[in-house]
Amino acid sequence: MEARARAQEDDDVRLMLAFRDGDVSAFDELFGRWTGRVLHYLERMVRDAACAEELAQEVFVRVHRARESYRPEAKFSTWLYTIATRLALNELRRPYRKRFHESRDDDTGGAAALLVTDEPGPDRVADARRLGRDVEAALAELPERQRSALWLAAVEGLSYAQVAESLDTTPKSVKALVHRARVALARTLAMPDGLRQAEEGEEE
Amino acid sequence: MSERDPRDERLDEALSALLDGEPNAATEALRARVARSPELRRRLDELARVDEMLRAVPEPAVPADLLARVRAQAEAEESGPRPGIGAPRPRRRWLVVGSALAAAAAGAALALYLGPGVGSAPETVRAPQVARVPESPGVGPLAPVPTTEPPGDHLVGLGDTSAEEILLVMELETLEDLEILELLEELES
Repeated sequence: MEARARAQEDDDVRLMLAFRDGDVSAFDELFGRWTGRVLHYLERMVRDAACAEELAQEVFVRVHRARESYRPEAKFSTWLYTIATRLALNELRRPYRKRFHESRDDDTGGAAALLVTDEPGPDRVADARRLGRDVEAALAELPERQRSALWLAAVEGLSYAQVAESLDTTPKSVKALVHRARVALARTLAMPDGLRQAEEGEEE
Repeated sequence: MSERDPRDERLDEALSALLDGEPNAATEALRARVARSPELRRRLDELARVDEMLRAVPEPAVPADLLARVRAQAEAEESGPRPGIGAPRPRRRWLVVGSALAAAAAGAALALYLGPGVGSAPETVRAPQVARVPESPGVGPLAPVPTTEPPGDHLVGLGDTSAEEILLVMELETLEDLEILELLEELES
């Protein structure tokens, strides 16, 4: 089976199998490899560092817990992001979390502020931080599934098939989700010569 | 602003997939067209810049004790007498929600007692949707995320608390009681 063969080649799968067979250091290595990225993703999803940390902890507890029943039927990253995505989406759907996010959105003052990064200036570090905040705020305005799909495909480099598994949908839907998210972000961030000009058929 | 041509939308979507390295039958043709068309090149660059900006968001620092916390939680769960009883667990945040809901339910129950027009008819109490308690990330199996919308913000509040929601609160209160029982068990052991 092709998927199984691919999975066997996955180095993370090898580590997970080693952990299953009693090598505790394999779990530590997996944790070291993936925690930063998983935490990054969760923080973008739930927009709350403490909550993201708690969810990241839960993700790896589940990995730890699943070692005996683990079967290498998919890439490790697909499995890991599936756990993280479902925890994040469940968290976001809590009534009190929804309320929290709405209030946070009010506090951001909107994400329309444009940062032109190629503008020379002495405060490039501050500019980079501001860029990060603008992008985070713009990302937060996306519907959660678009946010998840875009992050997993564009930043984490997951294939549409992998993202589809994480979001329990089809690759075709992922393609549309990712695209809509990209276009929305491009518009929100009001990029120079942005898509709105393209829409209006303006020439450069 | 004029409406975009649906064909342009599809083309944009194909450009987006190109950025993600998702091959399809038209990939080579699209690449060739991008090479010939400054307009398409510009659109592709605009979409690619979104990705660059996302990748530039700094990664958060991983807390130094996170691995130890994961191990401690995992080992505590594995060495516990049985899942859910006596095993140390993070405090379930829905209990906080439960308290808020309990307050809401008390108000709604009082309103139902005092007069008609507030809340739902009693027969809706037996509706099957009552069991839709939000899943806690700390408990339960890795269930698929429901595609339907879960109970919304209207749960917390006096004005529109339905009989269904009151029953939900009662269920949460029962769970809270179980938590207390577990705590007592721990103290006694």
